[in-house]
Amino acid sequence: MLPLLPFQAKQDRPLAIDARLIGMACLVALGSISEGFALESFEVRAGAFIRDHCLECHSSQMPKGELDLEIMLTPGQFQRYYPEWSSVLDRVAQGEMPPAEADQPSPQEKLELTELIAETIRNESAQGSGDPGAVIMRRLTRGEYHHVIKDLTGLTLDFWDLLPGDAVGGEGFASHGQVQFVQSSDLERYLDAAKAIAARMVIGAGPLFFYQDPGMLGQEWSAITRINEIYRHHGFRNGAGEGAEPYGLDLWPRVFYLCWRLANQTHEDEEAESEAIVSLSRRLEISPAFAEHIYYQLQRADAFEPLQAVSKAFKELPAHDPLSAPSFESSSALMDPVVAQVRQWQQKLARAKADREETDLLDAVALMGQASPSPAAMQFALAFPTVSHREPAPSDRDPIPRPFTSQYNHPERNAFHYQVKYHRQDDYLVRYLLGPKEREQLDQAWDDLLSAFDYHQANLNLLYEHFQPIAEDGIPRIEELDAQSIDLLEDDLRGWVRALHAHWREVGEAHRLAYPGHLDQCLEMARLAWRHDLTEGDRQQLLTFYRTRREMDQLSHREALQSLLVRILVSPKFLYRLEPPQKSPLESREVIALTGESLATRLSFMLWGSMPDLALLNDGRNQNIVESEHLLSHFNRMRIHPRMRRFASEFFGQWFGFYRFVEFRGVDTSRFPNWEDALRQDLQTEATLFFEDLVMRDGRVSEILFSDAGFINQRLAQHYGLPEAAELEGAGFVKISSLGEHGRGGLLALGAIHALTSAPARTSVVKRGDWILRRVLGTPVPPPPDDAGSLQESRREGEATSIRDLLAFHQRDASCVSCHARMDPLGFAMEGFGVLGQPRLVYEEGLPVEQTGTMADGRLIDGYQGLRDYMSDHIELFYRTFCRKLIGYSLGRAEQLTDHALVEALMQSLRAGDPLSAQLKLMILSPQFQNQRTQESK
Amino acid sequence: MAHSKSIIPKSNAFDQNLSRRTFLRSMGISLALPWMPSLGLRSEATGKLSYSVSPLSPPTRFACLYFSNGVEPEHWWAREDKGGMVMGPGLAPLRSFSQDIVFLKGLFNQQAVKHPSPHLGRVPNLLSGAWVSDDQDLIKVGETMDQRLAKHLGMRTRLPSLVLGIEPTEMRLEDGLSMLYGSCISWESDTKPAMKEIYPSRVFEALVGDGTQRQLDRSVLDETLQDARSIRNRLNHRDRIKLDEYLESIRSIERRIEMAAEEESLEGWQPTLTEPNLPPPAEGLPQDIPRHMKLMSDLLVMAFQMDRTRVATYMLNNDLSQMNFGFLEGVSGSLHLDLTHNGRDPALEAMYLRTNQFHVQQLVYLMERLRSIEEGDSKLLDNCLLLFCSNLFDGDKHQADEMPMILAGGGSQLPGGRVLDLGSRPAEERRACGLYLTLMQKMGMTITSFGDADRPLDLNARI
Repeated sequence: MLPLLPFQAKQDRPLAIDARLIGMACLVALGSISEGFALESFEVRAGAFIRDHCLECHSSQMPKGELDLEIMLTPGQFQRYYPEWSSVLDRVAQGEMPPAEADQPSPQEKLELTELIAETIRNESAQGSGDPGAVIMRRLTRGEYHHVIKDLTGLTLDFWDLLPGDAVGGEGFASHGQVQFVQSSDLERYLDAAKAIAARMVIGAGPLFFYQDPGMLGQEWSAITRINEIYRHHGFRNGAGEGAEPYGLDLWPRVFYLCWRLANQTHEDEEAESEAIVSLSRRLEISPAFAEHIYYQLQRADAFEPLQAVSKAFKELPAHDPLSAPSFESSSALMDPVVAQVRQWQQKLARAKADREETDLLDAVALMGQASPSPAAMQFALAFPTVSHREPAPSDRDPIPRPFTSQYNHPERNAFHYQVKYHRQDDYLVRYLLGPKEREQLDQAWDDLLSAFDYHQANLNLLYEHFQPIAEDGIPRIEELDAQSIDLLEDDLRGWVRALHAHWREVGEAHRLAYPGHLDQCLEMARLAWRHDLTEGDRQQLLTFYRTRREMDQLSHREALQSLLVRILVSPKFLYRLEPPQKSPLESREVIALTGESLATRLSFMLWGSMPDLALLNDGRNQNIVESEHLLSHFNRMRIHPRMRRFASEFFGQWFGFYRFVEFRGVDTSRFPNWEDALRQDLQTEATLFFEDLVMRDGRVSEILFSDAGFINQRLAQHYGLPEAAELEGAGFVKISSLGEHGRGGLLALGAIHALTSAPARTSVVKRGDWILRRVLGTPVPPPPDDAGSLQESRREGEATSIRDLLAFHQRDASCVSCHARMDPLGFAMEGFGVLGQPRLVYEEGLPVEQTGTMADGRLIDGYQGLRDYMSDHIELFYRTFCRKLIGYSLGRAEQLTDHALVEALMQSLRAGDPLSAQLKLMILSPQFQNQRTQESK
Repeated sequence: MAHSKSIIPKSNAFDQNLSRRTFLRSMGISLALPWMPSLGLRSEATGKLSYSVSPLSPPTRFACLYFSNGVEPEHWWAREDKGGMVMGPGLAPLRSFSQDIVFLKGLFNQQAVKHPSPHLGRVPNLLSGAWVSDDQDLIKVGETMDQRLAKHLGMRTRLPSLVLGIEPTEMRLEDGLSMLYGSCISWESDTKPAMKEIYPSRVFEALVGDGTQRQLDRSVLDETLQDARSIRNRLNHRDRIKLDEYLESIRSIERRIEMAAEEESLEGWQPTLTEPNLPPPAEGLPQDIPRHMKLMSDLLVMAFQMDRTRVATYMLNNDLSQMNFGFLEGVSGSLHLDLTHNGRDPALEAMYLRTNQFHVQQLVYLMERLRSIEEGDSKLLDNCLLLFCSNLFDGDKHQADEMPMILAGGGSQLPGGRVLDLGSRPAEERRACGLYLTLMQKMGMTITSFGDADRPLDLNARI
């Protein structure tokens, strides 16, 4: 079969020509143009109109506005000048060209020209339609880097100042390979960032995970956080110590209720009883071991007072019908007398013990068996302690453990607090309250905690100082000890040291046991971070790297693992979005389908600005994703995922320029004292939330301009003078859907946009008009001629000239008027918004704000509402801009002629009022999204 | 980018033990390896680096100080007079330095004048005279003279060049072109800018960091080279070029680690400063612009004094800068929108003048610092060729058919106190690239054409 493949590949060409022929045939069939004419080239047919009406200003001799129509009419060059022809089409169709002062062609002639250009675009684009184009390998942008790290580690880290800055290219997005560079200083930044991430990897006795704080201190904090979470979630405490909150006390009524239900049932055998305990305790969300323990205590015949008193109260509970099953909710109050007995005796015991901690009982029973309490007290404490565990770090009030002196302010006690720091007493919790999984997690957390610093050595030092202040050979290192040397120690010391040493070995062993798991996890992280399945070669390379670090460089497991992660995160496989073509004979073709993994990666970077998640990556690996139904099911899943919010700032933020608005410095702070960080942040949030809402709600693209809704907090409400200001106190950002009543709502009323389109100390009619033309309508004006000079747009101090008078200059000069007639009226319509977006009716100088403008066609635009009406009449241009931006963002290249069919499909969807997801769907199903070009087109 | 052929010896011993650098070479990436021992800079006997060019006299350095948005022509003039040079108000801060400068008038870049984009078409080609690509999907200008110099001289110092700036790149397009063009006046190749460093702390670290930290990173970098190798063959041509940037970066880090280790053992002329004489700057960007600029100048001086580089460019602002000059008394508004395009309003013209004077003050500060440092029998300033310039003359009109340019320093190589007005000469005689040819020749390069010029500019001509 192989020899046939090149022929198959070549079939593309005749097909493409066919398509063009079909296009021509359609054109003939249209009949609006005579048949004989249709056979002539575009250049011949357009030539007459162009010569009669355009060349006077747009010849090679004098290419006004840098538009040289003469050269554009070179036969066979239509594709090359597609963007220019496209703009000719727009300008003529909008009636802006030829300019009003020139001889006007008849409407019929204009229509014929625009139809001719449109037809030619359709025909020409049919050839190679859907071409993926030359997409250059992309490096992660700063935003993408942050998202990826968040998704990989769960951490929100701020590397904005550290990482190389972004520029934009193509259609104005940072994810464009041409504008992304790496030089040595950048690579060093990536190294630094990777190290900062690796330092946050908690490498302990359990699986790897990441913690916000770096280094060993981070490990210590992460461990103590995990321990306290487990304690709080499963344990109970009666509020011992100053300011301590009681918690977990609802365990008591639950467990008594369970015992009560058991006592009222008969079970065939012990097994049946155990099953009943398990099923009841699962429903009550308590541990079966706890239930069994309490049930046994309540039943025991050899009980002393006070245990006896509790079980008496229990036995006095009314019986219930064994066949009925009273719910816990309905019967929990019944348990009150039993709970009261427990509390009463707990308090009584605590008082009797005077200055000694009641919990010392636990100490005594669980740990040492020393200083033995009375059997009665012991019995009770074993069943009903006031706390299930003690604080991991003994507070001031807690006694420190034996053999150390617990006397307040004693040097030994202080030394314990500062050096040994932690003390584990959670026997009751571990034995009765935790399931096996939590127990394992708790043990791991304790191992991590006690290995995060030199706990064992500090403890050993303290033991020596306690028993043998003058050690002859000094205090040994704990790793120097072994069974023989311990045997030789003095009596008092020996037992303590032996226990400590054994514990030290246990902890070390627990860590070592976790090493292989850590390596597996690192490999899995590499797969996620590199966004492709690891080859056996990759795996071996990574493992060898780790081993070499360990053996050759004598690094610890922790250091070697961190180094491995750094190595993964500075690899080009991580930093670049590689799209290696499939290894197949089809490589010789110019255009081939993306591999499943590349497609999965494109999809996730487009929607989430980040790497694929596991489900997507797996479907990429097995190539499922290349089938539309799988691709769509992932799309449908992903677009409602919270990560989809990122699409708002990444796509819309870059399109409209409010991306990282918090860093905007273009406002004169001396003129606007209220321009502070908080307001800047609020304006950023206002813009971001507006688009996040649109994206997550799956609204329509037209809402960007016409929505009456927006997100406002109290500061912004005050800033904008909205009546809601009072109600918003402490409410944060709230969606308000009636902004239209106050002359706001939509993109063009966002304060961030107003600030971005102002000069530092004043608004700029020209800048705002220009911005709307460029970013919203997509019909930018050409750069001003060199000799245009400039006009004074800002008033002199104390001068009362109106802006309109200042700008009237534009209307006098023919070289200015054609562009400014388009810019200025749009800019004037936004004059009702100040530099920081606040509404205004008068300027600082006291003159009324002028917010009307007249377009070249005589249309009056009056203020913000007028502007929205104007936009509504020109919504096609906005939709067209959206198409260009979406293509540019999704593909990492500028729009090209062969995208025409996609543009048409997108436009149709937009016109039909489909939600945003419909357009995104069209994008990801397009051939340009799913294929790649392996060679330049010829 | 030049892709020369690899020159790996085919001995077995070499094949079995491919060194990092051999590997790099075998990748076929830009192989003008200026720092390779093969270029004969290392003494065979001692293994130390040695120079063939006047080993005991201080080397010549080059720096270009750029300010954006041009000047107001009425403020920017100079003429030779009996009593010395007479200068326009824009140059006021330079008055006591007139003997140290050559005022150039009339130089231009042909491609810049022709470009439709009045800003971005005229900035990145300042030092190359190349055409700025107007294809949205293609970033392309031309290798600039400073980077050409860096390749020539870079082997001798830890950093081939220092590329400094104050403002970050704006994330937007202007006239459909990336603002990258307005933020880079140094280009390593046609398609790759040398991105400027705007963080003083990082410049400091690059200049004086001892490389020990990076030494530990070498094993990591070695491994990532392997990654690059494993993927490179599967990529198409344009992606390989991107990947090669990555490889170049690794090489340049390694080179710096090696240079840091070898600096002590250099033979020949020794720099007068071996330890930094500045405290390490704080992390982050200074918020105060004058302080930021001064700090960058200080670092530039220190780099030259310690001979850590011999080539530098320094952008005081980006093109289309929104820099707010409120820190100058009586000035408000943004540089580009309000002050450059001022509609000839006298009050705004006066502010525009103040900003230009402020830029000139930065040159003066640099000259003062360089003059205060002794290097043997000369001053450091005498061993520096400084070019102070903008890419536009009349900033308001985006006028590029001449550029404001001043040369300073140079000692006896460049007699000062002169005005070289080429304004009335034919185009061939007033090409900026001709000036660059002259400067590169003065820096020891044998080069006969550059950009649009095929003859050097005679700086000693009497007009």
